[in-house]
Amino acid sequence: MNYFTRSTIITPLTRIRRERMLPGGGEVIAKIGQEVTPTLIVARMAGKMNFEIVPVCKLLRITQEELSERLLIRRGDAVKLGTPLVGKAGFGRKSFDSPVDGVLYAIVNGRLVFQQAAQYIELRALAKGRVVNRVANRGVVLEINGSRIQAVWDSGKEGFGVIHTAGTTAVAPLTPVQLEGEVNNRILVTGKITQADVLEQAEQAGISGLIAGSIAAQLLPAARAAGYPIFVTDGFGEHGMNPEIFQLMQQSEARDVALFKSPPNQSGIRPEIIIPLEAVPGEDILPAGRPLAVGQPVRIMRQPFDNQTGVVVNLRQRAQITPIGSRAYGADVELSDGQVVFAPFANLDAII
Amino acid sequence: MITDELMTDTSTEPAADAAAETPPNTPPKSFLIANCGSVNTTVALFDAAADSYRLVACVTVPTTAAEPWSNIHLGIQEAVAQIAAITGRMLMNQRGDLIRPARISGTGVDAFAAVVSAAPPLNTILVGLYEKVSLASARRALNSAYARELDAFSLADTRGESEQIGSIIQNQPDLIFVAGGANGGAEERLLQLIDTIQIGALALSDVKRPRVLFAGNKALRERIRTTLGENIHLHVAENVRPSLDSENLADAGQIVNELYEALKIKSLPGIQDVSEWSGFPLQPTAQALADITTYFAALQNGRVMAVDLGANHITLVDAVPENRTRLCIQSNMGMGQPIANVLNKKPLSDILRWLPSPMDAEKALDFIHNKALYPQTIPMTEPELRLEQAIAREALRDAMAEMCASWDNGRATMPLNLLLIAGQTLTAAPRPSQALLLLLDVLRPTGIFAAAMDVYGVLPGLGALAVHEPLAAVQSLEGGALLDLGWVVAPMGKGQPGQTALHIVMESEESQRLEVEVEYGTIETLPLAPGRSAKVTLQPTRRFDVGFGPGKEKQVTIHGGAVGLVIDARGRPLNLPADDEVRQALLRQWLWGVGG
Repeated sequence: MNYFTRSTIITPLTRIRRERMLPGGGEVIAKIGQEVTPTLIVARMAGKMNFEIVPVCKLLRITQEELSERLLIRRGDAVKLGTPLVGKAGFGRKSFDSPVDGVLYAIVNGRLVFQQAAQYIELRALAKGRVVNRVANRGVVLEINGSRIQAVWDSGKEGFGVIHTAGTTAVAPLTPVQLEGEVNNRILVTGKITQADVLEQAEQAGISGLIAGSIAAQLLPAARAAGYPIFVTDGFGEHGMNPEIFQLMQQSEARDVALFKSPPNQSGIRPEIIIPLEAVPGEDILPAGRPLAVGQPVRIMRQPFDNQTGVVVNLRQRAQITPIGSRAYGADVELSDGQVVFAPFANLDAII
Repeated sequence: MITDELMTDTSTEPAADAAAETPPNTPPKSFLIANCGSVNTTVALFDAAADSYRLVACVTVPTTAAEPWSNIHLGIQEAVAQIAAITGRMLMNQRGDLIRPARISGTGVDAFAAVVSAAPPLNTILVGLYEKVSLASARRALNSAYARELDAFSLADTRGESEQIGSIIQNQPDLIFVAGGANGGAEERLLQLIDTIQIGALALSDVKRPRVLFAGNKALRERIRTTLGENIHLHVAENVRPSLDSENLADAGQIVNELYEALKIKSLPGIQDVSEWSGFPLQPTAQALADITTYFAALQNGRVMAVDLGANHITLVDAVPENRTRLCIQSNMGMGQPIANVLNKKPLSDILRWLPSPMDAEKALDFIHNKALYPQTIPMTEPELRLEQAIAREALRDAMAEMCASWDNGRATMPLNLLLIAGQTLTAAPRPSQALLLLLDVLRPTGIFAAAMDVYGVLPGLGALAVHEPLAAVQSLEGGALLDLGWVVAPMGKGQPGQTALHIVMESEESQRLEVEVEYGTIETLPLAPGRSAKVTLQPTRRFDVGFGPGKEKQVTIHGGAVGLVIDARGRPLNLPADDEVRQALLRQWLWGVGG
């Protein structure tokens, strides 16, 4: 029988395909085959649109039919304040000039709807790579060779920068002292975030982003409000970062890194930390989502072995009685300290 | 026994060949039913044995709709493979296709059905005139489907039209639900809102353009159809509020459910393969649960409530015979990814007060947010179990408060006959008594009623099956598809702690006569095993009422269950002491009272 569990990709070198998608329809600028850099705009769309509605028929006391005869502009025409909209038609019939700037978007029941100049959302590549596909008018698919780490939470922002590992261990917290060095435009890597004031100090220090193993849940409002992206690799609490991830980060010191946030409303696509590399990957990694097997490295996600890593040594065929009296199917896992423990499949995260 | 013949692809054999194996016009005898939830998928095999349908095997696997699988069918196939391994019965061919119909040799299955709640909810903007009239009715209709309210426009909305248009464009709703105007009532204000909707909807591309459901003043239907034009897909339902004093939610609720099926279920990756397996239309899980609860109400000739505490939804069904069943779904609450939403409505202390022992507030907060990240995980320690159950209490309390506000008062005071319990947090509790206590804490029902638990996750699936194969569903239920928990006696009334609320005498053939005095403020359990019955004489003291009048004695025959006979004399409402130590001791005492 096959047992499926959650999985997390942590790999030093692989071929990555990542979508860069606008939240809505827009304009795709990059072309298939194009080499991209982090700052290159690959797509854009109108952002928050403002509309002004001018009730012309009501103001001029004319019918919709008369409006259509006297209207001097057409849908899609740009106007400025004072642009004539409605012409005179005979003695006593008033003209009407535009009270707004904008583009005539629609004529609805005797009202002119003007769309005002919108800000644009510009989607940047964030990483060095190549466009391998375009997705309608929504975005592109980038192919990037490099390290790939799936995170579990992001603060709603994304970005790129140069890696700098603050602290020396995977469980060390970010402290103000670590912000006193050359951290401007860096993506800091730390074991955990335990204090709100450190987040503010980091922003003042000009960092480009923060990667932490864990963050105290009570700091979530401050994290979301920070002006830079914050990515969490392991979860909420004080357990710090998976040592494998921390080691990979240390080895990637001074390299470029891209932080891709989780797309909104898309189930299952996680935030990712991608470190582009020049090296070409050999064999592709085995796909995520394959059945659990003996020998699979795993992380346990619940107490009493919360965030401990190990290797699957046995897949139990029958449900086991847990310490609290419930029944669960699971596996025996040999932890890094040599202890062999039972963990339900539901509580295992296969590390790929 | 597997032979070479069976190893070939038999799923597409011509009808003539199938007919040669299965006599014509013979009703199906075996069913596979899948319940595809947000986190877990349960597949169950039902078959006829000794002329009666039975649950044969049941497997639960992770739902594979999301990354990294992005194919809901994969999980169902895995579950079917596990059922095949358990039963020794080949159900799929080498290609992974379901073998249908069942062969005389025993391979295959006659039919497959699925209920689905794994799809994301319908994102909806509500539009109406008055918050407490048309919008309130629209909300109640929306609550009968997996839908989420993103925004609401009404006369009370202080935003200008351009901001409302901006909301439609920013939110990109799947549906704009318009209600308003009693038949023959105000028209122009509603039509102005329709103009706004038209502008906003047309601003979105064809792919993102929302559907519009109009369930208001019927005199406006044609004008609205003309205003919205051909480029906006309009659905029309009966007015949800034809007059100030009347409400009609069924038609609009049905259309919302149909839109959920069409726009959300059918968009799940891999769902097409599931549809091809299924001989019946895929159904929203909550709708199927409502159907089976309605059946129970007719069977019991009394009020039946079903509670499904899911990962991404909380579903409450309240059914009475010869009346419309009320179905209420909270799509932004559950024990999975939305678990932290409970903190949007109440402080953490409201959750912590249900813990029988102290817990650090920061650790509790970390736990809640981690559970949102890892919704599939299960507790392995006592503190985490108690915390999950505490969260469940507050999430259910909140859902109940919102839902009960919309239910008519007459129904709320009707005695309860049966309580149906579903959802993994409840059904996988180490002891079923813990789940029953949790619901007694939240629902606070009174009277005498039975309780049953959907431990196998098959109740909604049987609801879907019952529509097409009622006999199979009925016999499967009678054959033990649900776990009988026993009965609950919850007297109404108030007294002093220590004062006797109820005197009980329980007599059964298998055990000696039991006489118990139950004090006010306590909860007790008398053992009565499944399959046993007992004659119980209930003698409430004069301030207490078990449903037949204050102080009125009643004799009833009850049947046993996994918990037994629970007497909940804690009074209504429950008062939790403010002092931490006193409260925790009381909670431990209550837990002991139902068996721990």
